[in-house]
Amino acid sequence: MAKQIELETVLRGEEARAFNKYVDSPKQHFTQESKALFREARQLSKEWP
Amino acid sequence: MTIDIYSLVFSKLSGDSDVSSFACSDSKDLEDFLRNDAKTRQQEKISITYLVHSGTDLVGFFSLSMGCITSDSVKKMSLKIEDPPNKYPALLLARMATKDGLRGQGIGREMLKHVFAIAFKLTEQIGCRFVKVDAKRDPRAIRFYENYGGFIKITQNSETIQMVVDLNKIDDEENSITV
Repeated sequence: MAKQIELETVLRGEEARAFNKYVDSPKQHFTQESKALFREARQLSKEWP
Repeated sequence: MTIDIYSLVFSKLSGDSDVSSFACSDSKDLEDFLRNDAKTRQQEKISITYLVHSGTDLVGFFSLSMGCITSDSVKKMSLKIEDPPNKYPALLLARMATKDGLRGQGIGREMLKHVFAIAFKLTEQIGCRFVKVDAKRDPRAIRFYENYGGFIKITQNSETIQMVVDLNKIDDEENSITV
């Protein structure tokens, strides 16, 4: 049997603060590669699954 | 073997799916999951597995579940809602693998694209703020998720690094282009 995957990630202390900062930050810098992938995925989502 | 990524066919695992040929020597756990556990977990609605075929050859798979992220200091956040939750719903990319000998041809990127397509669709129906992945502690895997999916690391254990990307930030990015 394969190992169990934890569905929940629990963040505490500095990890929680860093995560909150990420959520709060107004924008994220995405690479050109990720922007292209998101565009393709958005289009794909209109026809698949 | 060279793969034409434009001819890849994505389908949901079914009871009839033959997954016995799938080999992933980098991670026996992934191989073991697909061969022995994926169908049962799908029947139990714990995870849904998608297969990727090139012709009749099974070249990759990924498996999705719902997950959540709990942050113990969420109340300090400046969310736009008055009483923010301390748990965030997330689409969990629990497992993803490309068959031995076929890596580096874009199959992983195509699978990740399909994961985001599902995430975008999902967020039209139910609340889901993040895509989360348990990545192997392998610099190539980390770079892959950072570069193609905009994931950032949030925590780690001895086996994996947990990474997320905020779907709202993707929306913001797309809106900033179209406006």
